[in-house]
Amino acid sequence: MITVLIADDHDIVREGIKQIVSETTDIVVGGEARTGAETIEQAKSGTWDVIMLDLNLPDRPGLDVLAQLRAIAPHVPVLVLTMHHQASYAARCLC
Amino acid sequence: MRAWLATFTVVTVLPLLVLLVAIFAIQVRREQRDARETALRSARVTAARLTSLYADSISLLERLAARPGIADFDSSGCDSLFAVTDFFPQYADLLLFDRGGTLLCAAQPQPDDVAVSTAARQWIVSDLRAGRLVARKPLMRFLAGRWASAVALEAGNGSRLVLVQLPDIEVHDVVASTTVVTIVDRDGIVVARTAEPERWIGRYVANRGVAATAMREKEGQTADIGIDGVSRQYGFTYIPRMEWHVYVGVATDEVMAPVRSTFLRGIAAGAAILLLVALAAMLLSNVLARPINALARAAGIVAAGAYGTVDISRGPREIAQLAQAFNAMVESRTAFEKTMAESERNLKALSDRLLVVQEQERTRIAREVHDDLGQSLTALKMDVLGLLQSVEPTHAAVRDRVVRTLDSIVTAVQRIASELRPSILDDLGLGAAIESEARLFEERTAIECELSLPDQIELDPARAAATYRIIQEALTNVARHSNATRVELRVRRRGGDLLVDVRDDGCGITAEEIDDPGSLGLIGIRERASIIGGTVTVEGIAGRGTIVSVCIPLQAGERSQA
Repeated sequence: MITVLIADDHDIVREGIKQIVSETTDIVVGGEARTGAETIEQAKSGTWDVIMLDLNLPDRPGLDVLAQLRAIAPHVPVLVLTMHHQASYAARCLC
Repeated sequence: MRAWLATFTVVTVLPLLVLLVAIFAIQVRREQRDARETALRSARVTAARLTSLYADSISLLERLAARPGIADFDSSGCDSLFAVTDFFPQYADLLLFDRGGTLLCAAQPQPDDVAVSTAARQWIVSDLRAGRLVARKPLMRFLAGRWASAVALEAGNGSRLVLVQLPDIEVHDVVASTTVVTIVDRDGIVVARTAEPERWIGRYVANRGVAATAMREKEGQTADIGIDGVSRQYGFTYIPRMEWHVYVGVATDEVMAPVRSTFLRGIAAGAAILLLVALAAMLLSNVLARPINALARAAGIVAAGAYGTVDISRGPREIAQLAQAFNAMVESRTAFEKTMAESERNLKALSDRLLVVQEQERTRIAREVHDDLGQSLTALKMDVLGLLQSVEPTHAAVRDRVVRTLDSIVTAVQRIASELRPSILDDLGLGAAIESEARLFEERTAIECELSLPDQIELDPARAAATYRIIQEALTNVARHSNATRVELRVRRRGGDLLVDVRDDGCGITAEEIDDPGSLGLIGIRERASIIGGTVTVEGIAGRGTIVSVCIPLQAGERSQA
């Protein structure tokens, strides 16, 4: 079973993701975070197979949160969910 | 003013100088004419004296010769000679020679004329023996510092009486000290000359200057060169009985001396007057020029864009009034300019504030659009996609259209949010935002955009946003107006500044377009640059393209050095 942490400040998005995931049999939403701080907190306290991260969080830039996640949980893959299509975003996320 | 006064002085003084010269010329001619007339009178007087002397001498000698003691001379006759000497006031000697030229008698000279009489006796003896002393032909000779004349007359038995006198032919009524009296006989030989007699007596001068004129015209006056080469004013006359020509000359230099002196005094006086007039003119010029210069300086200051008033405590009333009017005008204009400047500052502050507020408002709206509308659309899309999975294959076309519409709406929302405030600017910084803008520009316009960026751009968010907007506006101008096929966007650091060049290969902006108040894009660029202390230069070359150069200080509070 794949346990996912969803980090997004929009309830409607989190709900939508949970609905899509609920239709699968091998993925489960194990936690939700509305801010960057909550995301870091949950990443430290829980065990995650995947973290789904929005780059637009209200308290801090998503890219900063991503960098922290890479530091505290380097082996946990992070799936970035964003409306920004520019390649530079992808490049920065991969750094 | 000084030039005008100088002209006035010249116009006043020059005629005076001309008048002075004219008076001098007239005076010169008058003095020379007077000198010639005086010389002529003197020549006539001399001629008259010589004629009278000669006539008296001949007359008395004839009477003497007729005396029995002389006509039939014996040794006692000598006494009678002494008896007649009183008739000759200028007597120097009276001699009686026999046929053979032997001196028989001689009257004793006056004690003070002994030297002359002695010399005269030697002269007479010599000329008599040489045959030069002919009866009734007068001779003259300069002897021992005085003029001596001699006249011979035949007495009885072949004897000869010779009377030697000391005629006064010095010219006393001619003032000039250089007056020269010359007597020339009918053959052009100098008989007598008051100047350098030893040099000239006996010389032939008939072909020389005034001598030739006198021999030709008998009587008259002329300005000529003397036989000694000196320029003189001459009067000349003729003594028919003696066949002598007498001419009297006054040196032209001496005639001119008083006139020249008068002229020089006149020139000196004129110069003094000129100096006084010049000084007065200068003084007047200073009095007039000082306030006018002050006025001109103040006007120059005003023309240069600053303001200055004129302090005129002295000077003509009219100029003071002009200065007061000028000061009033300057004060009025100063007040007006202050009001204008304040108004301009207020407008600028308002404009700056509007741009800041606009940016803030755009950011807020972009966030609203993204957070609310965007996320709702995303959720909606996820729901719709979930629903559409159960749609019958027969409705596939409708399903695809719904998906495309949703994608289109999401893309539009993203574009609108991005245009309002590109989050990439906040998320990834100015470099990434510029790069993204360049790529978008290429996609939208099909104009190739060559980008050159530094590794890192360190600008605070406000300056980064302004720089981004400037580039965005410059690229928009290229797309709208340049008709370019290629644009070069170059960003680099230089010292404490960030330099941005946007260069296209289009038609080239004109000078009129650069200054056109309707060029809102350029005005926006300048305004945004001004807010962050930057400068903008725009240059266009017809057919070659346009370059917009912006210089932005990297640190807030600094002004661009460009």
